[in-house]
Amino acid sequence: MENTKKKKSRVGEFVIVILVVVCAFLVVADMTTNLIEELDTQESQVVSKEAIGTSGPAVRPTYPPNYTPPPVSEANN
Amino acid sequence: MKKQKNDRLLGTIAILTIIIAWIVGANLAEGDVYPSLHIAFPEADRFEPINGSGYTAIQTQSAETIIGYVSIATASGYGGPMRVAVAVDLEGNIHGISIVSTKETASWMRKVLATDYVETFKGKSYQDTFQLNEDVDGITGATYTSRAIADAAMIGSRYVAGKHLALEVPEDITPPIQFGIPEITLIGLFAIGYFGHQRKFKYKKQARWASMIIGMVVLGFIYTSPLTISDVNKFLLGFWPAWQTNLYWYLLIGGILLVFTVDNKNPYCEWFCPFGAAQECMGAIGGAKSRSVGRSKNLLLWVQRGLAWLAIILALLFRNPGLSSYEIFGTLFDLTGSSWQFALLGIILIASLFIRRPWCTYLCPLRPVTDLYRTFRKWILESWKTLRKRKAA
Repeated sequence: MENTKKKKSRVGEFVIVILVVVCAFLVVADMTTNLIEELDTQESQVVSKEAIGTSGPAVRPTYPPNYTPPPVSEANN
Repeated sequence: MKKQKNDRLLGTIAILTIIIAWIVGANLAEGDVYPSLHIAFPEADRFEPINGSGYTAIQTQSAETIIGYVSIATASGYGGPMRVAVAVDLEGNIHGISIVSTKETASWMRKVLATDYVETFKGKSYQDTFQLNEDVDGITGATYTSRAIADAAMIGSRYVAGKHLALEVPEDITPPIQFGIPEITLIGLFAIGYFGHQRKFKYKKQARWASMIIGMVVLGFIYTSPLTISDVNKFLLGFWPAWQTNLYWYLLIGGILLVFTVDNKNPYCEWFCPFGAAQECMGAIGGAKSRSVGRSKNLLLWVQRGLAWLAIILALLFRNPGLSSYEIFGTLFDLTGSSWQFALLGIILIASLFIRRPWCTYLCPLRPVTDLYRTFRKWILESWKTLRKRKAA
């Protein structure tokens, strides 16, 4: 009688452990997916930067006829 | 005694690794902005930086012509600061916007980007109010993210208009304090919890059920704002949003910390956590009980703690609070989440029929956080008492 009880409780314990392991796997899979997405975003930014380049040839820009640019010293954040 | 020593040692190691992750994350470089500049202003052939954060958009077809400016504006989202490239033409109208970096949970961000919300800012003037649901239609279920984009669009367009186009910019209005149903409900739930925790209180069971049902309906299904590990990460990263528009966050975090520190009681998890309540409702249907796990207790406890630790470390390393948030609260209350999360939700809801609160007991990352807080609170109090005794002697 006691043995059956013990066995029963061990089965319950085993089921919970399996359940938690499966859930933990899903959690890690979800985190990994998010992490890969984040790393992809960072990597694509680096690739785009290399493809685009940060500045073009050193040519003086022209302004539209009715536009007055502000002094350079004010143009910052 | 041995268990207490082990807990304190491992808790100290956990805190040290969290501090290291914070420092490493803070020193990692921010992402490049150029791809976002091109998305915001596709007609420009190149961008010239202006003393740091602003950019001149230049077209180089025949001769070089300035066609506008792009400003990188920062606003507070749900997960932390969001950087947005705001392209403005020479009349001060928004030409396009693009997200440079965001700390929002991926599923919320996807929800916003799946709509044409970002496109609605095209043509808006720096003189517009950019108020959510007045001037701009926000996305239901992603209010904080929508507001952050609108705020960034306003800040960016006004900056360009004022600084580069020498236009008269409307004065900044202090955002109105957001105090509505979620905030009132939260205060009410804290009050119910306070009285319910009193030993002499007769209707503890009824009060707890009332508190759980209100929490589940209002904070869960209607406003989808339960406490998550992402809130803890935000707190640790120092991404504290504007209190006027995020009073709920301050009440939730501040209230829990206050009650924990003063009373050593958890006012949230057992009393009004919406997901805990959902599990208990399932448990009431299926007759769920607390199940003994015998010798595996320690193993399961450390699996839960390991997952929580991993979630915090990743969030701090990447400085993104929502990156590793694996809770399935939004999956249930807003049907938002990855396929992994939906699978997890299914398992947990079925398990809730037979096991009392399986998520809270074995998986929730907030339990290890509260355990750690309790361990250190007790340790500090004991050390303080010992110190006082020694001084007195």
